Amino acid sequence: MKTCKRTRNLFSRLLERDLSARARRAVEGHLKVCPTCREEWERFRQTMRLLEEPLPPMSAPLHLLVGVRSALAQPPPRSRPGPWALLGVSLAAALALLWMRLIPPETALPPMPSSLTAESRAVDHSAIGQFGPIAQLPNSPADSRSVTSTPPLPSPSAAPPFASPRPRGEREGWKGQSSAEQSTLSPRELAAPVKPTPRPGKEPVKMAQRPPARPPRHKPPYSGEKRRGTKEEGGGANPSPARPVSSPSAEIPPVEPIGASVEVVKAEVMPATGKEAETEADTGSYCIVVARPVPSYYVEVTDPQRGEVRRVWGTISLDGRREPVLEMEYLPLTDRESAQPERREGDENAHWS
Amino acid sequence: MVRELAPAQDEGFRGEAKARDAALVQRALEGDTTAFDLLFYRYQDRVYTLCLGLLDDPEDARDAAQETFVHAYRGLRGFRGRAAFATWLYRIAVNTAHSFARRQRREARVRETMKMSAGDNPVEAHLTHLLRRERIQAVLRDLPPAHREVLVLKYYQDLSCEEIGAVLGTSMNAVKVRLHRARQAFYRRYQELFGDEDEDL
Repeated sequence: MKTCKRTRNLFSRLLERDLSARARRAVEGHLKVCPTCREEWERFRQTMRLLEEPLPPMSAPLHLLVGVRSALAQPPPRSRPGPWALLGVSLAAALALLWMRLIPPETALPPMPSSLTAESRAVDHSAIGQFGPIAQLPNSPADSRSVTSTPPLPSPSAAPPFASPRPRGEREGWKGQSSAEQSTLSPRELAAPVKPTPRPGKEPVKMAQRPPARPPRHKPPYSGEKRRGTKEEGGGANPSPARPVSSPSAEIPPVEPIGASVEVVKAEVMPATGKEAETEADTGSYCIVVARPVPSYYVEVTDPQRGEVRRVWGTISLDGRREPVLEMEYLPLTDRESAQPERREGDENAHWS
Repeated sequence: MVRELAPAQDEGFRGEAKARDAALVQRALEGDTTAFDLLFYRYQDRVYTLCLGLLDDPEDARDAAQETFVHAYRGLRGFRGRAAFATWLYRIAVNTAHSFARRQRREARVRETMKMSAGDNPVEAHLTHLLRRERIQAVLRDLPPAHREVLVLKYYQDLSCEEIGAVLGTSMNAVKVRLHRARQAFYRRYQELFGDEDEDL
């Protein structure tokens, strides 16, 4: 009986081959003579096999980064003031004064703006590429060029604040903009998942700050396959009068992208049907907002020419690996005026990995 | 250029991936917030899965994952680079998930088993799989946190004992011992709950 108990306590070690030769012999010897323990051992192995079953691939929920950024935009929570609070505050103030004299203020990470939220996509273009005071430090050639070529931008806090994380399932709100604001979109785009264009009021500032922009790109028409995202987005139908995008109009201010600012020069997304997508159609000045498998894979891109966020749907080649890969070439927008595709290899900022 | 959307499970704890993460952390500390985004994209699925393994409830897991990255960003200066960024992040995730679990217990909230809409898919094999998963979750839920976390890190994050030790701040041998105990505990609890009806699975 005692041997049975001891044997069963060693099942995990036996399974993991984490037993001395002598102990293993003892356990195996007992299993040969004790049918109950043998049965128990068999059951133990079966149960452990359950644990070894791989989990189905799971993705983090959509817009997790939006939540993270919103939380980071809030001041960090402070402990509740106690009876010593007053003393503590005055002491802290004194220390802070001392600290500020001794150490320059750049030693803290900048507060991260919630610039990936829908609202700020539309509104806060001034915050782009400028997350805080430290982001302006010329830490790379590309950064320094972008900073020095433009006058100081208004601080991200000047934009309407994005106070709290958006409640789940509220994406429909994105299309609730007035029709006048979306009037630069062609009928084709109106059928696509259209996100609001920048609100007026911010843009004049923006235009004044921008260096001369190159003419807007003309998008070749899409094969219908790639618009499958429309269904998910609720259609994005909008009754506003549309104007063809192909006419480069001076009054459409170029909108700088947000987040990981990249220019897509080659995007190969295979539609779910297997029909090859138009590669050319995906090139342009984009900002990758989301690029990960959910539940069929898509890339969410911002078109800075139109201020439009849209999704490119399709399956992404598995490339012989378990993890899906997305074949995409891009380079940072800060380099877009000067960089040639060949230069991308050496540009660290162009690579995510 | 081929960009990987989700890193392989064991990536980030050593070698090239570790160095790449360290470089991204350095860039983030220099003010390049894109670098932090990249770290986020690399780890969001794994952090979420880890939180889900420790918490059951997808909503809680989402909140815990979010809080993990918030803590990570705010505490990035505290990351010394001695351990891998992945280790450091996992440690934050485990601690955050624990504080969520404590909150759960305090609120005595009724947790629903993950409803995976088994009725939608009549394929028997699929149902069986779902049933097995639910059982595993139920057993994990009943285990003490110390057992549960080693099992989740071992089986669902595919970490080695050494890596688990780094995440939990303990030695490899301590992890091995804890894993053995956790397996035995898992087995006992599984047999208590489902021992009689296990034949069909």
